[in-house]
Amino acid sequence: MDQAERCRRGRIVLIDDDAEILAAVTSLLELEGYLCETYASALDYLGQLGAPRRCPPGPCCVLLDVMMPDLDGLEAQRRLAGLDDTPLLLMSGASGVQEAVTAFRAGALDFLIKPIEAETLLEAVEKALAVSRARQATRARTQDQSRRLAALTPREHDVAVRVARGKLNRVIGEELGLALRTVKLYRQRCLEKLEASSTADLIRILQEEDP
Amino acid sequence: MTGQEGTLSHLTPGLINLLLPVLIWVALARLRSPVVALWCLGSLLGAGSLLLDGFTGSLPDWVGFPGANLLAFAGLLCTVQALRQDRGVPWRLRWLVVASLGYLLVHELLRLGLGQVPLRLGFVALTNLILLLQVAGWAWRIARRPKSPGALTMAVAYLFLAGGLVHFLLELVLAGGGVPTRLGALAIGINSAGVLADLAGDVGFLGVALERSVHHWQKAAASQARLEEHLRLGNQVAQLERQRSLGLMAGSLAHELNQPLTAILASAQAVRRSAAAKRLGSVQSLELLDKVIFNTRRITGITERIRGFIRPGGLDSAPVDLELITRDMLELMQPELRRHGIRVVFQAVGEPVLVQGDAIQLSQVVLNALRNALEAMQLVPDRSLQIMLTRSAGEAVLCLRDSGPGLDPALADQVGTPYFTTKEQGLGLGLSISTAILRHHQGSLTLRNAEEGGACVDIRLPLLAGGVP
Repeated sequence: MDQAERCRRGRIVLIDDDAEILAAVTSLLELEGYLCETYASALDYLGQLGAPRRCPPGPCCVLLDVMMPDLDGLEAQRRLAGLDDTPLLLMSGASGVQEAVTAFRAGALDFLIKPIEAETLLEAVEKALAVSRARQATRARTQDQSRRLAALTPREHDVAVRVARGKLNRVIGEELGLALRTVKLYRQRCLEKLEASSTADLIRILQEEDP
Repeated sequence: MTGQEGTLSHLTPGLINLLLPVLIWVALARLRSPVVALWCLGSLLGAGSLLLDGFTGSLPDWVGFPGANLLAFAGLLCTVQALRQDRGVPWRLRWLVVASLGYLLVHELLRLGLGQVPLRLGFVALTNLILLLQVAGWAWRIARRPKSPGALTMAVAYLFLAGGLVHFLLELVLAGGGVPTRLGALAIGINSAGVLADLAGDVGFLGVALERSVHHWQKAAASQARLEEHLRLGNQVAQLERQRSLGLMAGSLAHELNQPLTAILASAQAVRRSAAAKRLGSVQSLELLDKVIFNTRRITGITERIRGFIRPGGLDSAPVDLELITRDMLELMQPELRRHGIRVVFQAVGEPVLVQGDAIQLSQVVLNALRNALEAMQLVPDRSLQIMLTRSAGEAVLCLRDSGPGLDPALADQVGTPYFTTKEQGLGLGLSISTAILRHHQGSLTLRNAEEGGACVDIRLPLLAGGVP
């Protein structure tokens, strides 16, 4: 299986201070066709986050051990939360309820207890990758819409905002000091530029942009 | 005494009295003391006096009269001194000498100067009576506490003899300045009473010595039993404390066991899943199986260390490598130390540092010191532990220095006493157990504040002979 295909299937970032675990879990995940990146400490991972990626974009999740020397899993989770929205799975062999609760409150998708059954691990990873895919899709759509909104002239944007608020063409014209015919023209251009099929669609796009 | 009547009446008791102190001296060979020596000397002098008395006729006068009487006087002085020595209130030697010289002077004055036989006899009888009452009095005091039949026998015997002397004195007084008519019979009577009293006295003295010896052995046996009980309880407490310290580590140990287990499970399941789907080459399978084996051994190592640490049972005394047990305990505490973000620097000697003792108990001391250091650093951000093992002047010194806040000087005195603790969940036994263990090993533990900050524990143990280069 080539690198690109693995990337499409899913990239899994594995962080544990135990080299044996990194090796064994990597074997298991690579046999299932995923791409594995391993780090011996959360600091190593945080350190290279900005670096350019070899892998083409695809779903990604982080599998993070809680009990680690330099930076423990929960602290690493807090730091990662401020940096990106990659779904996070935590794992631990001797954590109490308290740690699990903390992890879930901070948005962990799952908390796996070591030793981890392959079924459980693969299921959790698949779920995390699905979440990752969904997040990436949403992000792509929002980016697209932002780009289209940016294409509007300031006048067109003023009209679009007022349309979205449900104002009549006549009222908009009075507010902006425009002739009714000009308002209609701007409104038509807004629909074209935002690639909206109807006024309802236009309203949705603007609401998503500025809820 | 005059002693003109029958040499035999003096000779036989004299010989018996000579034999008795020798017998006592031999019988009490293992219990000899100044008291026994004084007593035997007193008896010997008494016997010498009797023998001289017996030969009065065939010896010059100056040997017979002053010699025999002086010996008798000195003998009694020794006897009194023996008993006083036993009670811890001996007379000074110089007074004894002065008394003897005074006695001789008065005796000779009376014998040569005045030539008064009754006066001399009275003087001799009176001085002897005073000393006999002393002997009886001291024997009586000894007999009272603890109750001693031997000393009571002594007291009664000498009191009996004193009674005889009182009778003799009365006869002298009744004779009204002349020589009593029955002087010879009286002298024989007094001598016989003296022999009997000495015999009873010696037996009594022997009795006291033996009673005391038995009592001493009983006390020694009782204290030995107490010591053994103490040791046994101490071992049990130490054992409980070891279990407790393992209990404290339970979380970390679970983590430590789960790490290799996780690797084993993942490797095994990777093989299992891929074998089912025929996706794995045999080389890769073997690699994964090697991982299973390697990680299983990791677990075995951990459980071995735990088992070794809590093994109950008696004390062992064998050469112990302090460097090895320090490494072992560091290994055991490793997950805990890591979890608390403690940097450990171990400056070792690089070769075995041998001391004599029980490996488990010494491990406990090291583990306890590690745990104390760990707990001392809970509240400081920069946590480092420096461990140094050195050899100097026949001693192995293990020094642990933490980067904690150090010891509170106000509490420093109390540290190490049982049940004293500054920790909310501590029992306060750790350090006192360590101290006790080290005392058993002729070692020591000192706590101090390091100049660079933090607390410092010095564990010292005598190096095994031959362990020094």
